[in-house]
Amino acid sequence: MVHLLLLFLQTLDLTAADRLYEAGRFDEAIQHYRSLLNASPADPMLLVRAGACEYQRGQFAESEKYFRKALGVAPELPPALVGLGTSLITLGRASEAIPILEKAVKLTPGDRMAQRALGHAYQEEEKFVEGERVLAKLVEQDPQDAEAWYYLGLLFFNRNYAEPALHAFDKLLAMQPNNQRARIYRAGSLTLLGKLDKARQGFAELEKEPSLADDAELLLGYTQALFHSGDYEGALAKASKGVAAHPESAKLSYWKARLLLETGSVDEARAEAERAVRLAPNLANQRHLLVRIYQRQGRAAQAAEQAAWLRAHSDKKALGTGR
Amino acid sequence: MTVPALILFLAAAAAAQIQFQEMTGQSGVEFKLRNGASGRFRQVELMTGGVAALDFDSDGCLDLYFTNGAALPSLRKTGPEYFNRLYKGDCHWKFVDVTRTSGTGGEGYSMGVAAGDYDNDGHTDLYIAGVNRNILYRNLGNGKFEDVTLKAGVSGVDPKLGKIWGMSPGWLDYDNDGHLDLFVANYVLWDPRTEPRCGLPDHPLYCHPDNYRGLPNQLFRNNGDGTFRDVSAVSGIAAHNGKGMGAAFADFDRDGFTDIYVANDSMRSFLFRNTGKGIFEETGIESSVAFRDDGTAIAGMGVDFRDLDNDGWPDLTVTGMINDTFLLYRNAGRGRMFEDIAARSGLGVATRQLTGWAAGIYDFDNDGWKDLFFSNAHFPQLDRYLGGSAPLANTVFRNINGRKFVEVSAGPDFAKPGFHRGAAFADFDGDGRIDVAVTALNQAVRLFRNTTPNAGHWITFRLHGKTSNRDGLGAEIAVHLAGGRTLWNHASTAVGYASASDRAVHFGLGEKARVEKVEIRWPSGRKQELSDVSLDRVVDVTEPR
Repeated sequence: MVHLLLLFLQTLDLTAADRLYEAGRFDEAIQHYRSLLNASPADPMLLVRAGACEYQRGQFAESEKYFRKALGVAPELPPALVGLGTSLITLGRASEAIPILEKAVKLTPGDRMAQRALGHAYQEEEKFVEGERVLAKLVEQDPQDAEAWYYLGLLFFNRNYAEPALHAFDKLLAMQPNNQRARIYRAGSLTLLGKLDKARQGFAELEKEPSLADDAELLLGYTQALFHSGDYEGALAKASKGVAAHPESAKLSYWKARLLLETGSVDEARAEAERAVRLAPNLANQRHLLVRIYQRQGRAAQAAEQAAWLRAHSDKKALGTGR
Repeated sequence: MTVPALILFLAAAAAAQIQFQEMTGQSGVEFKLRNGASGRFRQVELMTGGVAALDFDSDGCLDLYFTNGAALPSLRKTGPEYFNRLYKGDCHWKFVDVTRTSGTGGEGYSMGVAAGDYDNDGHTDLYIAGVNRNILYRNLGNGKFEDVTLKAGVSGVDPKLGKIWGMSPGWLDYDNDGHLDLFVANYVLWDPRTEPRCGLPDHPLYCHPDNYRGLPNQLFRNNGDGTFRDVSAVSGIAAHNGKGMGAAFADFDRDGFTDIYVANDSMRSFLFRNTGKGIFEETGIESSVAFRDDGTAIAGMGVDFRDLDNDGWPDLTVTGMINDTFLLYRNAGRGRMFEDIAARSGLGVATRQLTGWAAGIYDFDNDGWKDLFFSNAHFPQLDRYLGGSAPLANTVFRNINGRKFVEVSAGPDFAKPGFHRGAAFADFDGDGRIDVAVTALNQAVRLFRNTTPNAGHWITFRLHGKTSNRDGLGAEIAVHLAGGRTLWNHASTAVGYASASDRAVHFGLGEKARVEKVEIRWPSGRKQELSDVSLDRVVDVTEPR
């Protein structure tokens, strides 16, 4: 979004607010934009500026409102479309962002920012084919587009295509060697490829960085790398650390429960798995684990209850999405 | 290296090196599996490729039957290139195409094949499952087969859905009445006229199974008079819609009744527990064989169901797609659950980058531990994502102690990649080492002769049921060796993926073996003991009346 606004700042008269925005003084800038909007409430470019500023302030719901207002005045204003799409992705509503960003790309086919945002939205929504098309084109046109490499890497990683994911993260890290997210996913890609020594080494190095010591994604990835290496005690230690730092994470809770079971602590495993189910009742993994635990403990009725849930959940898959 | 790891390594290094030599070129088998693909990315194109190892002319030499695709979208065998093929073997790796004279060229788009003597006349019959046509070929015993599908009542037409896509058929005697019954694992509701398009217009992809509705499987009870009754509904089998790819049979709870496992594609797999009262209970989840050990449903494909750790309880292995990892379920026995030991056994990491089709549990080096065979190939349109090309070499994992499996390099012929699909296991040349026939999509079939040097002793049982079904399918055999070791296996031809293996029951015995006693539990319930059994031979065993 910084680039987005800078683009406009190059073509529009700079205002005091713009100067504050450029300086990164977003809290002050938004006061100016609001004042200006009091005078010109239907100025679409002013609304775009306010939206971008709110986005920078982390006020994504507010930024969405400003971009929507801009589009109410100028429905095909590309920067408003891109701004709205980007806000929606950040708000976890990538599916809503996709048609908006597709419209922006159609209106300005050469706008790389719009394409990148669209690729990001596709990646978030796991629209693999569409996402690959957009993002691969971006990196082909500009191999230095680090952000596009990142989304492309994530797209492949989430699809478990570890080789191209590794390639994408390597490209990005050649430009930004300290990009922590890319390093985490790179190590995760190595786990998928069975290159467990390198994966563990990567996670161990990342864990030493103070800003990442309690990172949920890092600890989840590290847990899995240790598990697949057969180091269940080590994996349990990482999962436990993750749960302590992120008690809301159902995935970490599931892994801790699984490893407790694996290492023979059945009662503790049951308690943790039950907690994981409470955190995310619609995930099958922890229900499946609970069936095993309950059966081992002779809790037939509770096992049957979880099995029934799994059966009903799974039977939806048999229906298919087609005719 | 830790001490246990070192011991395992040394054990692996000291053992006979499993080796396969390709015999296709000199065999006379010119069959090439055709899927009729024309760029439209139809789901059926990925799936065909069954093969059966059988002795159709009862000359003691194993023969081969291959299913084949058809033209698309007509689903018709428009020319000989689409015929299914029957090859007569001579026990010395020479085969002659007898498709025309035997009348077994098939119809429609064929998928899987099952071989079994359903009418107990001593001649092995064939059942072919397909997309638009299932066929029962009755072996007339004179080199010819007769299509008796309609007369027998096994056309595969569902009462509500019409003809549905049959994938993996198999023969079993589920009610132990002495007549082989027929199970058909069905895939998804599919019609070439309404095939969805997936991917982008200029980047089409095969659709994910989630795009299609699953189907019930079918069970046909043999009436003993040449006809069958569709008991899919009354048996409970049809109560569960799945996306069946592979099916395998074993009496996993050792209650005397054969149970059924179905590997489903991208949804939970099924374990149909035979109650012995004509009813099956689907217990996949309760038995912990429905999902991978983390609760994820894999793209289950091929399956085999045999005892891997010599404890007498049949274990399971299931192939899947890249990143699924293949599954290895250890049967804990005595009513307890299975346990997915793929990760701990070494199989998980080793198969993570593979896409597997057929699976087979056979002792290839005759060391007394059954090994694992997988036929492999990625989906063709995915190769650019895989860090390599879509064709893959097949893989063999040597069983170290029932708990650890180590991939072995089985020779240069074996390392050649292909679009492999179905596999049939049999000792084609009678040397006591299990060979493999593997189909490959739009490629020549591959016949692998097991040439493992210094393989151990062996014994193979060919069963002749009297009260039980004539093939003895479902019989459980325990071979007691001097020194107290006991090896277990059972008679089943439903192995791998859409394929049928030889009905003979093979045991590798190890380097210095002596058989003290053999116990056979026939499907009829009769128990038989053999003593003074010589090694390194095929033993014909007739069920006592």
